[in-house]
Amino acid sequence: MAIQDIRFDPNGPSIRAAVVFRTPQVVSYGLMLWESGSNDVVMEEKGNSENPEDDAYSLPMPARDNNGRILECDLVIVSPDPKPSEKYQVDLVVSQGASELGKLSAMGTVSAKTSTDTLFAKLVGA
Amino acid sequence: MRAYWGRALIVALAVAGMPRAGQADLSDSLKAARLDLAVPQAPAFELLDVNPDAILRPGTFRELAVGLGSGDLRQASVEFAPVPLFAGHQSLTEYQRSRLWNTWRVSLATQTPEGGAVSMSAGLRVSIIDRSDPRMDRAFLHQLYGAADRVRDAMLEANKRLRGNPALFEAKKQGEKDEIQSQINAAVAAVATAEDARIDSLREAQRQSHWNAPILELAFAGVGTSADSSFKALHVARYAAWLTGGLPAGQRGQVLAGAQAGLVPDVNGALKRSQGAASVRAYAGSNEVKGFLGGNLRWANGTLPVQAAHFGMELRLVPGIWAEINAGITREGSTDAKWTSGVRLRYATPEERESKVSAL
Repeated sequence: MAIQDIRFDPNGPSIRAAVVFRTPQVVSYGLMLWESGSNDVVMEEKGNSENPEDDAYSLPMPARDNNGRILECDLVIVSPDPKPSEKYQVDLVVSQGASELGKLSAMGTVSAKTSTDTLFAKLVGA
Repeated sequence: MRAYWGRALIVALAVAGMPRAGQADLSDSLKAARLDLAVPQAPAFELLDVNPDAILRPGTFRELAVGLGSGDLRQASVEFAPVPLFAGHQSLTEYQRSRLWNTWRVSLATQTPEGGAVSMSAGLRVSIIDRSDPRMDRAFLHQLYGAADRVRDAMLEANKRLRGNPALFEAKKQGEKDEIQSQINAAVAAVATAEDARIDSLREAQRQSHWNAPILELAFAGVGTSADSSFKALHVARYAAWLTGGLPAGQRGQVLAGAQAGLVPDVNGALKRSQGAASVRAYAGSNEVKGFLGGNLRWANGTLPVQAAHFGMELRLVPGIWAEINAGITREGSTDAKWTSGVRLRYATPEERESKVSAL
């Protein structure tokens, strides 16, 4: 598994994680924030692409508390009408205030069955 | 078992049952009757008779630019959906908000015979109404979301319980990681297998219940010719337009009506000769097997009108492949009506499957 480092300002405003659906499939996601060096889950959210509201979540404050924590996004993708070579893309966008800190993309080809994918980001105070 | 033998019999008939000698003209009339109900996927190609193997179908603007940039523009054919191509990625809710715009398909083609004039064709196809679109069926989608949510819950639970913190997991020995990962895969698969079967059933039920849903499709195209590749002396050589609509007739029936009309050059080369066709067909049955009854009228300035009536049966062998048995009578002007019959296999390409009408 690839864990991408995302740097943030420990003294800055709230960090937000947003799940962005880029392709027209049914997507269900689970977002977990793992405590640094522990198996404790600090925050857990679930959602899907059924409604048009933003799928964005504020991480705990103060921002510095998130140093070393890992953000995990588990994805399940289902195409309503799968076509050969139909692609999916779901992004996990991490931002702080008005600044985008980083973006991770889950991309692949849908199958006739459920497809799964996972994104990992390690938050690094800098 | 009975259904299996029925399908096998129809396949055998379709493979062996080509039209008999002397019936080619009648078969052409029946073929024309069928075609009149199909709005072409790429109307520009319909007018220029483009080789389907050479068509560029870009999914991104970059693919379009690269494809056109590397080819011979005097012998090019391209088909694309402009809105997704230029607007970029769309989520399911964005697709639902702009379905009509998403159905626009542009087709462009050029042909230049050795030493001949350059022909350029442009076409547009729009699916104005398509109530069979699974991405617009909110009840169906809600059930898919339920299935996806259950797999997601199993995935979250397995990752939390069996794997834990991803960084701590990565620090383990490879053998231990493999063992944990196989346990996670098994735990998720236990749920996903059942949900996949449920999704298959939901998709099939959606197809069965919407095969006769309302549709309305429109296309038009024009061909221009020019003596040279500068297109300075471009003049319109031909126009054509197609319209097809369908409505359910009860739960197990459908009525489709289609029309096409066009202008072509007369004997003097003036764009004054009109031609057209109208067709109607009624279906009864299900998406798997249905009978049909229909009629067709085709006319052109200076020729006798051709009338045809036909009936038959369609059987879906597997998704995208149909067998059809048909019979009918054709009459040209006031001549005696002639009888014909035929069996054929039909398939839909992935692009054609996007169009319900084209698949009929």
